[in-house]
Amino acid sequence: MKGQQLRQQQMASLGRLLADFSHEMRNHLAVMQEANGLLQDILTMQGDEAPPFVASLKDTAAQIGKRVRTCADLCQQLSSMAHRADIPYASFSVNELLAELVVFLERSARSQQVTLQLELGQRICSLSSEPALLQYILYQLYVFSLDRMSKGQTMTIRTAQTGETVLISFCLAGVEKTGVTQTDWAALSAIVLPALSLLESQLEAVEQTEANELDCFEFRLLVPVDGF
Amino acid sequence: MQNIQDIQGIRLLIIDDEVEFAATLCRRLQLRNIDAVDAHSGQEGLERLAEVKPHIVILDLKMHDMSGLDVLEQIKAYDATIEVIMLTGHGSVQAGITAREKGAFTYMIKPVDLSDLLIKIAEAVIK
Repeated sequence: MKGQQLRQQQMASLGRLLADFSHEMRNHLAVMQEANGLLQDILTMQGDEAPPFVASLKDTAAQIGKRVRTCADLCQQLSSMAHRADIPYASFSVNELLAELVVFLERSARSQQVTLQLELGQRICSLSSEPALLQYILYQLYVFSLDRMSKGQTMTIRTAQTGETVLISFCLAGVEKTGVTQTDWAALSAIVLPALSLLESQLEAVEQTEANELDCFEFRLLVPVDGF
Repeated sequence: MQNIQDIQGIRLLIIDDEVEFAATLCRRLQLRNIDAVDAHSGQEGLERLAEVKPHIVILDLKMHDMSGLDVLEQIKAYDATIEVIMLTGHGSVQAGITAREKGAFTYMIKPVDLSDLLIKIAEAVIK
């Protein structure tokens, strides 16, 4: 119990640090955005008689503005993710949590030329559980999945609800079920088992259906709606 | 969507301890014929209320000398008709809810597109 409490305190500290970092970054981005905006205002005031380099400067300022907005969006996602660790137990949307996480996962998938898709189910109940712990499990499942994928394959993460359980499935299209060994599966289970146990969740491989012509390894995480 | 003409000529006070941000935003609003003034601490902002007589205050949530929420309470106590738009880099939804409960007109997360801010200013003016 003391170990669990310590872990929660560590997560909360990390969450606050990241949230403060994100806050600080957004302050700097706000200064950059306003300075860039003022530059654009001044360039626009030059009118139609402006020398040709003004158009080039306008383009450059527009590029800076676009990148600043992208950075701000990333900081916003980081902040939302970090705040989840602030409060150990909370009521939260699993779809929102996944959407935040995927923003940061996309890059590693892209660099491996794997397509990452998110298919979020409708009318999914909020979970009452530990959001930071669920984030950790999902991250481990993602890393496990990506390690077994190669160029041109597609990972689809889906959410659905059945009764009092939310299903989060990872479908690795192009990966044969035999491509994931018992040893792999045991290693993954050992990593996430303590966290799964705390969330009273289960991890299971899904049998492939005959109708599915494409090789696909699929596994599901089953999380109870009320984990308190 | 409100027209920018609706807000030309209004008096606006920006209270933010990020000096470059406040000064640059102030300049951009002045270029749009808004009578904008900036203050760089909570205390300075409160002291300038009587002088500026703002219709709208743009207020940072976290400042080095005072919390934006405390400044908001004092602005509302001074003149409840002044509309306050909170700006912050803080991503917590709770902070926004608290600001609204204390009387803020709205809550926006930095960095904010000027066009979005102008829309909120116009909405606050016609409230």
